[in-house]
This record gives sequence, structure tokens and C-alpha cells, in this order.
Amino acid sequence: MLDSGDQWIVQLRKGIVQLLVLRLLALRTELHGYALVKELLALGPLVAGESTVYPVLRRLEACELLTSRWVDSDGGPPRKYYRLTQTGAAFLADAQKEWDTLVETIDRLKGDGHD
Amino acid sequence: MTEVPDASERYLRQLGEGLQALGPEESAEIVQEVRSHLAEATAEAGGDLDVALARFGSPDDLAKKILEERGILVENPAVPPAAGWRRAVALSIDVLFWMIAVTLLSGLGLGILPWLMYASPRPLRIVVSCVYLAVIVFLLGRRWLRPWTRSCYQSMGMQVLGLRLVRVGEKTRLVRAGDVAGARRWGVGRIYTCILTLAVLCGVGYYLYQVVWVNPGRDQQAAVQGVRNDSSEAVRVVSEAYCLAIAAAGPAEPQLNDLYVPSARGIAQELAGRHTAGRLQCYTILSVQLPDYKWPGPGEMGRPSGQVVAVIQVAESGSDSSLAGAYDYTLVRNVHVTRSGLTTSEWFGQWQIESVKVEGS
Repeated sequence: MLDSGDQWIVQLRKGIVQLLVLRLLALRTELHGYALVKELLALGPLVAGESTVYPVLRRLEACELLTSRWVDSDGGPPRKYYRLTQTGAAFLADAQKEWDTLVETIDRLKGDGHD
Repeated sequence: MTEVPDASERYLRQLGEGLQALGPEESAEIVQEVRSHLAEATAEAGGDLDVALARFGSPDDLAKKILEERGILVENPAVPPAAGWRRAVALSIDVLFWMIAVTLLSGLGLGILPWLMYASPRPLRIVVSCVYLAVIVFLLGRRWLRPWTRSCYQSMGMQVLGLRLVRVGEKTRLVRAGDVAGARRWGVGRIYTCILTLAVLCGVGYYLYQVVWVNPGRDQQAAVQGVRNDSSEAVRVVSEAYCLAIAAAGPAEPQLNDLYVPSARGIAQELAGRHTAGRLQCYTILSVQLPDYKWPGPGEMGRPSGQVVAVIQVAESGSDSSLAGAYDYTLVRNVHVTRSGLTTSEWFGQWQIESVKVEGS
């Protein structure tokens, strides 16, 4: 249930961040948390920062859409690398279709002069 | 890349405390990942930790967001608490494991300590043993019972029953995992814990079955067999009765009075002649009455006691006397049982004639 417009936007952005994380991992194959956050931040202001991305990563991993492994790094703490699972890839494909349908519908409304 | 300074360790410690509901392993993994991120971000910001921390926000907010995404932060207070019976069973499992662990480790330690400290004064051995017990009780209690007192991570019993702690505002609540949206009911950890719990419960059940049910049955069987094995002794006692009856024909002897009840005495005296005439022929065990099994109370472990009553019929030859024929002797044996382990018991005691009954009387 939506409490307010702000709440709706928060939920929408959260869903979009999930989609972005999955899409990015589909493109890059494997990324650690820091690199993933940097790439997402480079996309624009949609992703607020680390405090948005890490909770989403935990959720996606718990849902087995992502898998992870620890890799030692030179001169610093080990890094956790994320990779898309088969389930994640299938989920991404479905989500992408839904997204395309959504965008197409909204664009059609704009074309009809409803905007 | 630089090492993470101490200021970030404070941040990470607070974050770990905020993530306790996830359990020690997952919260430690998240803390380690944030530590790795902070190290890289600080290095990139030219060593400015504040910039890196600001992007994460406060540790409490970050923990709250992670718990929310993991489905164990419930802002809706309508999520019902777990049923009372589920909580009771979960707590029972934790207490059971705690007791088993305390028993095993205490037994192990108290077996080894006296051996290690054989040269030490007795008071010191007692003090060390008490300290050892206290430490064991405390550490194991912390392992199995702490989640119940501190409302922190999921205990073993909670995992088996599919319960989890969720945060409702500033408090925690124990709920069914199935009532929390997005939470998984079954995972590898729960399956493993259930199998382990089932194995332990089967072990405890088998032990209780042996102690309470099988072992008394074995004692009964052993007692019956013992009586049958001792039947020759019973006949010896009966034979002795004949002999003593001869002696009893004279002045009453204290031993006779002690050994036989008054009603048996007269008959025994009458039997003396038959015995001396060699008329004693054979015997038959008519019945064996075993004592009610009494489970040993405190301080009596492994030493139940009672009376075995056996009725043995002895036949005489000859028919020239009204007393010739069969006589039933009621023999009583006061028994004590010494048990060695779960399977072997030794019954011992002394047979005595309680009464003699002439057939048809």
C-alpha cells in the first residue's frame, strides 16, 4: 500500500536500482561492490549512493538472483565480487520485458497528446 | 589503497550491532564488505574518511535499510508474534541442546581435571572444578540461550521451528518466517539444523527407551533367570530346613526362630523324619513373584532393591504318613541390584523360607 507520493517514488526507484544492478552485472559479468557503486553513480542521480546499493545487493543475493565470491586484493581487505545467476538472468529478461512494455505504454500516451 | 583507520572501525562495529538480527555470519560478511568498500573509497578520496562515510549514511540507517531489504525489518506492527507453542518448542530445543552440551563437557572436564591435578590439594581441585563448571555453563548458555534473553540472532530452536526475529520499530519480535514478506521458509541452514536436531532427539529418545523401558524388562528377565538358576540353592535351603527341623526337635534355637516364621516351624519339625528317611524326591518351581520395579531415586542410582518370592513344591516319596506328598515352601530372597552400564545387572541376596504349606491343608 502506498502511503504518499514520496513513498511511491522510493519504491519505484528501489525497483529501478535492482534492475540497474542486474543489467550492469549482465553486461560486466562480474563486479565487486565498490566498482558497481561507481558505475551506478556515473549513470546519474537516480542511485543515491552506497546506502541504496548494498541493501539491494543483499536482497538480490538472498533471493539467489546473484552469487558472490571473495577475492583477495593487493594491499587491502578482500573484495566481494558479484555475478548474475541463471535465475537472475531469467528474472532480468522478464523484468526487461515488463519495463519495455511500461515505457512503450507511457510513450504511446505521450504520442496521443495525453501528456 | 590504504588500510581502514580506527574511525571506520567504530562505524563498522555499530553497523554490526545493527545487523545482529541477521545472525553472526551474515552480519560479519556485510561488515567485511563495507570495510573493503571504505578502504577503497578513502584511498580514492585522498584519505578523507568522512567523505566515504557520508556516502554510506549513519550505520543505524544503513543497517535498517539492509534489514528491510532482507525482509526482516517489519515496520508494520500487524505482523503477528509466533504462536506460543512454537516459541515453547523452540526454547525447549535450545534448552535441551544446552543441557546435553553442559553434561558432556562437564563429564569430560570433571573426568580429566582430577587426573591432571592429582598432586594438588583437594580444596584447589574443588575450586578449579567449580570454576570449570561455571565457565562451561556460562559459555554454552551464551551460545544457546542468549538469543532468548538478548533478542539478538536466530537460535537453533528458532531455526528449526522456522521462527525469526524481526525489528518492529526499536524493538524486536519473534515471528514465523512465513509471515514476513520475502523471507524464505527453508534454506540449507534450516535443513541442516533440523537433521541435526532430529538425530539428537532420536539419540535422547533411544537412551530414555533403554533406561526406562528396556532395562527394567531386562532386570525382570534376569531376576527370573536368576531364580531358576538358584533353584538348586532353594532346594538346598529346603533340605536344610529338614536338617534344622531335626535340631529344632530339641530346645528351640534362636537361629531357627530367626530363619523361619512360626507357622513353618511345626511343619519343619514334622518333616525331619522324612528327610532322614531319604524321601525327598524332586522339586518344582510353582511361581516367582518379582518386586515391583522401583526407579532409583536421588542417591540410589543403579541400586534398586526389593524382595523376590518363590513358591517351590517339594515332593516326598512314600505314603505311610499323612504328611507324605507335596509341600509348598515359600522362599523369600531379599535382593539388591548392582548395575553396570545399561545392559548388565547382578542380583544378589539370601534366600529364606517364609512359610511351608502342606498340600491340601
